[in-house]
Amino acid sequence: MTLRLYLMPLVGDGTKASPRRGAYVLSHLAGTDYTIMDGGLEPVCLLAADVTAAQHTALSGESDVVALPTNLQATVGAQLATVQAALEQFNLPADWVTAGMTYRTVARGVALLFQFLQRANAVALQRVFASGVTLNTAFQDLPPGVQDVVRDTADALGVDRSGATGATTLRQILRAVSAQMRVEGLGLHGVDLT
Amino acid sequence: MSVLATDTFTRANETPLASPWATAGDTGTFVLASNAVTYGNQNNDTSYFTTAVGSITDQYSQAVCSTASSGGGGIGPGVGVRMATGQNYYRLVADHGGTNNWELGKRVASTYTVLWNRTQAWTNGDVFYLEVQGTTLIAKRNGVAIGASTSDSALSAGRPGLSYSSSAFTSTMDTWEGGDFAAAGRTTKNAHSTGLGMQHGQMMRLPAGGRYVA
Repeated sequence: MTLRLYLMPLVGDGTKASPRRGAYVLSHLAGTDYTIMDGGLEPVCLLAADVTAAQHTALSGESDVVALPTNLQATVGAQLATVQAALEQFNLPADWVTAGMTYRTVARGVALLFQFLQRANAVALQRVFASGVTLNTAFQDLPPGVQDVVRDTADALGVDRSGATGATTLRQILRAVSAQMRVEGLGLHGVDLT
Repeated sequence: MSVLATDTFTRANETPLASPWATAGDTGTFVLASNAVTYGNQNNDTSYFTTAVGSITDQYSQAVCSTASSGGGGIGPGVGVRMATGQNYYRLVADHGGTNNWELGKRVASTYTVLWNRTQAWTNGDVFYLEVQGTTLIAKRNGVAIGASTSDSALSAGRPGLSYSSSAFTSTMDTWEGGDFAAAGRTTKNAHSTGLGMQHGQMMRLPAGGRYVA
C-alpha cells in the first residue's frame, strides 16, 4: 500500500442520490479509506488514498486522472509541460509552476486554490467557471454574477484584490488570491501540504 | 475546550425535537423519544443545531450514538458542526458496515459532498466527536482520532448539533455536548435540562478545565 495523491474529476450533483465525490472512488477505491479536497463547485478534486498497486494502475489508467509521484519532494523538472497541461485541463492556472518546484509545492498551490473555490461555493453558490468563462477571460468580461463570486469571496477571505483591474484575467486573479491564502495545517489524508 | 451547551434529552417526548433545537433545513425532522433523539422518518436526512449557542467559528459537537444499520456507505447517526439554516453543515456519520462505514461530508446550500470515507468498527453507545478549528476538521470516536485531519474552507461559522444520514435502521443520538476551544471559566448558556440541576436557558459558569464531571 502506498499513500498517493491524484487530481481527478469530481462527479455527482450533490443530491442524496448522487452526492459529489471523487470520480472512480466507487469503482476503483471501494472499501478503501480516502480523502478528497474539492474545488468548490468546480468538477475537480485532489484525492489522497493508501492504494494498492492494482488500484494505482486502475486510477492512473483513467485518461482524466493525474497521478502525482509518491515522492512529493521530487522536482517537476522535465515534466513541466506535462504538469502544466494536466492542471490547465481542469481550469487550474499553471503558468506559475516551474521546473525547479517540488510536486509538494505544486500540490500546495492547487490545494490553496481549492480552498478559495470552496469558500466561493459557500459565498455565492455559483460556479466561477460559468458557461463561456475560461482562465483567460478578463475580469471585465466575466458575467456579473461571476464577478461577484470572485470579489465577494476575496473579501470574505480578507485577501487583497486591489491590484486587479478590468483587464486582469481570471488566471491572474485566481493565482493572486490563492497565493495570499493562509491555511494552517493544510493537509490531505495525512499528506502535509503546508 | 469549553462546554457551551449540553443536552441529555432526559425529558418527555417531543415531536419534533423542540427548542433550543432547530432544523438546518434538511427534509427530515428529529423526534425525542424514550430520552434519546431519533429520526422522524428513516428515509430523510436530518440535521439540527442548538440555538443555545450563537454562531461561532471554532467548535466541537459530540454525542453518544447507536444504530442497527450495517449497510455502510455514509448512513447512520452522527454529529455536525458549523450548522446553519439553508442546509449548511459539516457532518460525521457512521453505521456498522464492514468497510467505509464512517463518512465526513459537507452540505453547502443543500449540495452534499463526501469529503472522506473510512473504515473502523465501533460499538453502539460510543461517542462520536467532530471539531472544526479554522479550516481543520478532526473526527474522533471515544476520544481517538479517526484518521488524519481534513482541510476545508467552505463554511466559516455556524452552530454545533446532530445529524442523521438516511436510510439507516433504528438510530439514536443521546447525551449531546457542544463547545468551543476558548479558555475555560467562561459563562455559558445551558442548552436544555442538563441533569445538573439547572433549568432551560439558565446561565452557568464552568469550572477550570471547562467540564463538569458527573
